[in-house]
Amino acid sequence: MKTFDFVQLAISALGSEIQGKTNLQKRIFFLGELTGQLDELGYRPHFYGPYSDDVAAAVEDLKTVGFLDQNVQSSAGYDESGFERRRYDYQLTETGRSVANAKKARNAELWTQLGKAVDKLKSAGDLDYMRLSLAAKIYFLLGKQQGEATRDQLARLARQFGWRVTPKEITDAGTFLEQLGLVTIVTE
Amino acid sequence: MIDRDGIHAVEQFVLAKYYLTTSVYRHRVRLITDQMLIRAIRLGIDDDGLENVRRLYSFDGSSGFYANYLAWDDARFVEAFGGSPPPGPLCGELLARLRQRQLLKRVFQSPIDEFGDLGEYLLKLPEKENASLRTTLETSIAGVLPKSDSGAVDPRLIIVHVYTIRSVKVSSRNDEAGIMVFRDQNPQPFEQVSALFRSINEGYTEGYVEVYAPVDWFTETEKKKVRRDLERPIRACIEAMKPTAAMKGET
Repeated sequence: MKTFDFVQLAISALGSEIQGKTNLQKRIFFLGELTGQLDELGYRPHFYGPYSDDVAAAVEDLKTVGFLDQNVQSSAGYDESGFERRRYDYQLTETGRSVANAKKARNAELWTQLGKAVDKLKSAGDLDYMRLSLAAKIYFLLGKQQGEATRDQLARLARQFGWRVTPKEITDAGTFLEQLGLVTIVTE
Repeated sequence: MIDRDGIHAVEQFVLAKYYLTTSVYRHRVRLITDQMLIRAIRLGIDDDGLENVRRLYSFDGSSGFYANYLAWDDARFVEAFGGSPPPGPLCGELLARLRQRQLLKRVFQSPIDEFGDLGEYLLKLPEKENASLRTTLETSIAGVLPKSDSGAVDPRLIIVHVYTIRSVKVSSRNDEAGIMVFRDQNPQPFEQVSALFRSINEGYTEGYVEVYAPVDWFTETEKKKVRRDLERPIRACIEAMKPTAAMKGET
């Protein structure tokens, strides 16, 4: 499946709207992983965790053809970690929704998987974009082949890469990944 | 990471990059000549059966390929395949037009988002696997163009071209993070620190579909009339385009 189609379907599965550029990148990362489409999406390591130029290009293309609207939600100041405070909100347009409906019918199996993946994301805690970024970073760095990690390993990763995160945030991210079924947290 | 004093210099650099894109890379004449060259090569290989052109543009990784490629330049190419008489009539015609500055004319231009759900297929039209759909569309457009003294327009000389222009904000960064500015002991994103870039709407992005054809006009009035007369029929041809199953992602 083309990244363009996957991104459109993923936004549709997320309720046809999504808040924040980083949030969008990370949610699509996890949806890609949970539906077995991740390898097609071109993710690579980046400052805020895994990032895909292909996904960013697909978002631009969706805007170009009038399937997606982007609005800016401004708020003053910046957080200490350098994360965005100015938020970009995305919403499928009426045409975008109608085209997405046609694609759902043509990709029924993937659509079902996406629905389940979104439910899983929600029941795992539906993290905000910063925590989601941290979870995505940890998952990416652990390597998806590894499958299991200790809490110490997670804390070491944070220290190793100089992330300014609290032990609780690390624990939350680990729990989130475990609830998604992506890693198993083991005791040493 | 840049120093706060460098903000204006970066603004100028990014704007220069944007204007280079809109004024040069996306300039009408440049777009048309580029497309004519690409079409000349494609017709030379596919329709004229020019073995030399095929060999020149079929990369096989061999040292022979490099040696041959380096032996060619633009002038030799135009001389060899656009001479009189040319070895291939179609490739030759386009190269002769380039040489004589008789460029194809832009007879149609429209934003992609005016085509509703067809927009995404138009965006995919330049992809290699959609070449036959593009040919079908160009053939149908040839049917609505005015006949010249030499008869109907050859559909192989009609070019449907699709391109996009991103917001200057998008083109100012290479990835998610963009440029950071060192300010008050804390890095902050350039596009938020810069008053100029903060005011630009990133949501602005445009895509266009254009049609280039071998028609002539000699005055501005004539040009406007030809374009006006062709607007509806060409739009109808595009709207009648039937995306392939592969384009729709059907297996």
